[in-house]
Amino acid sequence: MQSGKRGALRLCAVFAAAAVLLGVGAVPATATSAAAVQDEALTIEPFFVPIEPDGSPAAEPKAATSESSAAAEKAIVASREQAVRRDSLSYSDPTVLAASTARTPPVSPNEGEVEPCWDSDGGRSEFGRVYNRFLWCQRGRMGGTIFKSKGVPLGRASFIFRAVAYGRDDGNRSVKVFMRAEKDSVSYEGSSSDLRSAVLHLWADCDDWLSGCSSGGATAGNTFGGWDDDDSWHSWTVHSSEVGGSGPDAVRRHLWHFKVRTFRVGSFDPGPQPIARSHTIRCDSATMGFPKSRSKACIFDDVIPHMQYSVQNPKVEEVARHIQCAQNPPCLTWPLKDGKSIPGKFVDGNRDVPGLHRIMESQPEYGKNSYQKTQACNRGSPYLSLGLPAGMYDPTPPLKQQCDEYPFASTKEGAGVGDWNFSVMGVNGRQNSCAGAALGRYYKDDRILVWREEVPADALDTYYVRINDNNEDGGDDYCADQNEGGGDPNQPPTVNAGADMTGHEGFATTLTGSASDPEGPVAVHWTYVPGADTDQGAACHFSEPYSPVTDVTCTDDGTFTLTLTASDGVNAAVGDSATLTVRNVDPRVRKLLEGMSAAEGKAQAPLAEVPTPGIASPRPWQVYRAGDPVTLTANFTDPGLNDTHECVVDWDDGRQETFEASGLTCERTHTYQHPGMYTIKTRVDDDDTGTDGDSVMVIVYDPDAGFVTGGGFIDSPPGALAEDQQTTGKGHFTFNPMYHKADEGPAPGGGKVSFRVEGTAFDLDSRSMEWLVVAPDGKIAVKGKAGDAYGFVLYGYDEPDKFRIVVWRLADGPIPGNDIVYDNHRGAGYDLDVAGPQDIRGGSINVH
Amino acid sequence: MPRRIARLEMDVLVVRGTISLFDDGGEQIVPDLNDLDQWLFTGDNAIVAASAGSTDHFAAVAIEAWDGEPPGSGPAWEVQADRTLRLGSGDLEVHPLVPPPGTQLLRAGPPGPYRLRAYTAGRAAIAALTPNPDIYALRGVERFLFQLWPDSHRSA
Repeated sequence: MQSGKRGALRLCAVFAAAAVLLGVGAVPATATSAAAVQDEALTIEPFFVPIEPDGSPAAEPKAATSESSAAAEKAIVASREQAVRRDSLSYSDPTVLAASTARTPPVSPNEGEVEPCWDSDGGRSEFGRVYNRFLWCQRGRMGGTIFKSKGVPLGRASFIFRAVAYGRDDGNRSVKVFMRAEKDSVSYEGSSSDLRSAVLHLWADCDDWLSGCSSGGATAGNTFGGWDDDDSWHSWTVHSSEVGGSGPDAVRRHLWHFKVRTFRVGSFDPGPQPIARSHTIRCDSATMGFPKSRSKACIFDDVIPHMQYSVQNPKVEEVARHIQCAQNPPCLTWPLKDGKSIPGKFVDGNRDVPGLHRIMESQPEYGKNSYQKTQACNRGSPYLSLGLPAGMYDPTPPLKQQCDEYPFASTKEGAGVGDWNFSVMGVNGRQNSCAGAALGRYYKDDRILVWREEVPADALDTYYVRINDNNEDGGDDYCADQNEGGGDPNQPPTVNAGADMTGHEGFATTLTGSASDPEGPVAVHWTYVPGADTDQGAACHFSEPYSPVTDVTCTDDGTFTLTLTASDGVNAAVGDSATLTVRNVDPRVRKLLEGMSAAEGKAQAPLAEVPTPGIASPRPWQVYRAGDPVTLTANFTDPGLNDTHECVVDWDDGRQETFEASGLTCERTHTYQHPGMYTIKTRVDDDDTGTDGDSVMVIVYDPDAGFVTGGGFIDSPPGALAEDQQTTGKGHFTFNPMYHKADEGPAPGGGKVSFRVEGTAFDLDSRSMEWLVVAPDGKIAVKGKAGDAYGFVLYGYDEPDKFRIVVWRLADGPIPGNDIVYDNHRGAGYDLDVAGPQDIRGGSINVH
Repeated sequence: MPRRIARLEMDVLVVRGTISLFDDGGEQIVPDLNDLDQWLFTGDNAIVAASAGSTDHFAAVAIEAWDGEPPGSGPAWEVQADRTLRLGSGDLEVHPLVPPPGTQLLRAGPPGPYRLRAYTAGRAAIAALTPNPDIYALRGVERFLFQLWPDSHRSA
C-alpha cells in the first residue's frame, strides 16, 4: 500500500514535469500530432544493457517486465549466483580500500577510487559489483524502447550511466546511492524520432517497503537530450528501519534497485519499471564488538567476507603458514586427530563451506578456547601424547614463542568446541600479536557481527580466512614500523603561515595559514613573538590558536612574528612564520571607533569592555555658582590595550593641567572664581603619538557680580531671521536682568528681556530667566524663555556696546542646536568670549 | 602543577600477548612489534603493550589523562617507558572490547600529538606463572599504568 501511494505521488510529479518539458497545449511543431501518436498506441519500456569497457553493448537488451516464465526466473537465479561468485572473486581487502575509521558516505563519489570497480566485468553486469562490504558499483547502458501496440519495436534511445553506492558504519542504518550519465553517450537506434523528446526519470527504490526499507531523494529526470548533456551526480538514500530486525543486533536485509520511468506525451505509460537487478544490503544495530560510534551500520552483503594473511609478509609469516597448513590437510597439525576437519577456509564463490563466527573475549567460549589451546600446546590433559611436541613451542627467552591456534580463539569454532578440529603451533610472539591486531581490525573493517547463542540463522555473520602466497594482504598497514629508533617512514607535515600582513592594534586581522600531512590529520598551533619596536607588555590573542585560519588581535602597535607550527605526532614539529605589522590607533574621546574605515582593519569589538567615550561630566551648558567645584570626567577608548595615556585639560580661565589618565578616564576638579562661560578642552595623548580631544562649555554665575541694563537697536542683518533670510531692519532691544539681594541663583529674580525686528512679526518678550552671567570684563550673558515655546541667550558687551541674541524653539532642546529661529551673528560660538556680538546702532548697554 | 584529568581502571584480558589502546578517530597504525627488547609500542591512534606472560590472562590496567607531564609514580612500578603518538579524536578505547554496559573509553583530551608514559609491574611473576590454561586464574598479577598528556613540545 505504501509503495502504491508513493507511485501515485511520483506520477503526478512526472506528468507535471512532462507538461513543462513538452509544452502541453501548444500546437505541435511537426506533422506527427499528439492525437496521431496516441492512435498508434505507442509504448516506451525501459531497458538495461551490459556494456564492454568501451561502452559497446555486451548483450541484447531485455525489457525488464518481459521475464515472467519459470525459465526466465531460473536464468535470473543462475545469473545472480554467478554474480555472487564473481563478486567474491573480486573481493578487495578492506585494508586497501576501506579506512579503519568509521565510514560515512561522501558528498559525491571519488571517481578515481571507484574506477577500478566500474572497469571490472562485474561492475558492468546487471548486478553491478560489490567491491567490498562498503562499496558497490555499476556501469551500463539504460534507456527506453518504443513499441507499437502489437509489440513491434520501432526504435530505442539510451545512455551510459555510472552508479556507486556506499555503505556506512558511522551509527546510521542506510546506504547512499549515486548515479550519473556519461556525457555525450546518448544513442538513438531505429525509428527513434518519437524518443528524442521522451523523458526518462530514475531513482533508487526498495523492493519491499514492508520489510522496513525506505528510500529518499529527488527523482532524476531528463529528456534523452538532457541526459546527453548532464553528467552531474544524483543521489538517493536507502534506509533500514531500526525497529524489529533479527536477533540482538536487529539485523535486516533489504533489496533495492534502480527504478525507471520513460514516457512521452501521447504514448501509453506502463509506469515505473525496475531495471537491471536488485542489490542486497544488510543493516544492523550491533551492541557488541564495535565502538559506540559504530553501533549502527549498513553494508553490502553480496560478497563473502574473508580475512587475508600472506605467507610472504614477514610480520605475520609464521601465523600465515600455520593457518595454511591447518586449512590444507594432509598437512600435519596438532593435536593429532584422524580425519580432522578445520573450518574457515575461504573457497571462491562458496558460502556453503563451514565458516567462522566471531566471539568476544568476554564470552565464555573464549575462555574455553584459550584453555584448550594452551593445554594442546603444552601437552596438558586431554592432549597428553597428541598435543604439540616439545620443541615446537618454546615460550621462554630468547624465542618467547606464543601458542597460536586456528580457528582463532575469537571464534565460536575455536579449540573449546572439544572436537579436536583445531590446530596449535608455537609461533613468533610478536608475529602472533601483529596477526591478532590485524584480526581485530578486520572484524571492525568488514563489520563482522558477534555470534551469540540467541542469534538466529539469518543474522549469522559467517566469515572465512584466506591465505595468500603473495604479499597482498595489506599487512604493512596494520603493523607499521615502530615509532622509535629512527625507522619511521612517516613523512613530516608541511606548513605555511601565509603572507605577511598589516593590521591595527585592537582589531582582528585574519591569518590564512595552511598545514597538511600525507599520512593524516595534523595538529597546528599559532604562537607570536613581539618585535624590538613594540612596547613592553604588547601581546596578541588568537581566536582559534589551533586552526590554520584564525583571527589575531594585538594590544599594541609594532612588528610581530607569527609562527604556525604543525605536528603529526610522529615527526618533529615544523613551523613557518609571517610578519604582522600592527599600526597604532588613536585614542577616542568623542566617539567609539570614529574615523576607523573598513579598509584599515576588520572591525571587531575591542578585547575588553570599555566605558562609553565622551565627557560624562559636566554636561554641556551645566550651571555652577562661582566658587563651587566643577568635576571633569572624560572617558575615552583605545583598542590598543597596552597603550598608556596622558590627559591635558585647558580650563579656559588661563589654567591648564596635564596628568596621567586613570585607566580610560581623565578626571579632575576645578573651581572658577569668577562668573563667565568657560569652554573646557580635554585632550588625550597615547604613548604612540596618537591623540584626540573634546570640549564642553559650562556656565558660572555669581549673584553678587552686578547687573546689566540695555536699550537700543541694531541693524538686523540678512540671514538673522530664519523664516525670512532677506529681512533686514532695526532690531529693537531692551533688557535689565538682575539678581535681587536675596537671590541665590542661578535664575535672576528681576528684569525682563525684549527684542523685536521692525517690519516683521518677530517680537520676543521674556517670560522667565534661567541664569545671568556678569563677567568681570564687562561682558554679560543671560539665558531665558520667551513664552513656553522659545529659548534665548542674550549677549551684551559694555564699552564698546555690542549685542547678540540667539533664539530657538524649546522643542529642539534646552540649549541652542542646529535649528535657530533668530541669530544676528550666525556661526559664532556660544561661549561669551567668542560670541561676537554686533555693534549697536543706537542706545546703550551698561554693566553695573 | 600538572593535574590528572581522568582515570580509568579495569581488568583487561591479555590476548596474543598484548593489550591495546586504540583511538577510533583515525587510521590506527599498529607498530611493528618485533623488537623483543621493547614492551611498549605506539603508532598513530594505537598503543600496544606487550605482556611478559605466555598465555592469555587478565591484567590490571589503569589509564590516566593529564594536562601536563605527571610526576613520577614511585617505586611500585618496575619498568617505565616513554613514547609519543598522535590521536585522531582523543578518545582511547581499551581492547579487547567488553560488551555494554561496560565502559572502557577514556577521553584523553583534544586531537593531536600526545606523550605517553607507561609503567608495568608483575612481569617476572606472570612469566613464571604462565603458561596457564585458565585465563581467569592470574587476574591482576601483571599490572599496567598508562599516562597521557598533550605534547606541547610538538605543537608549540
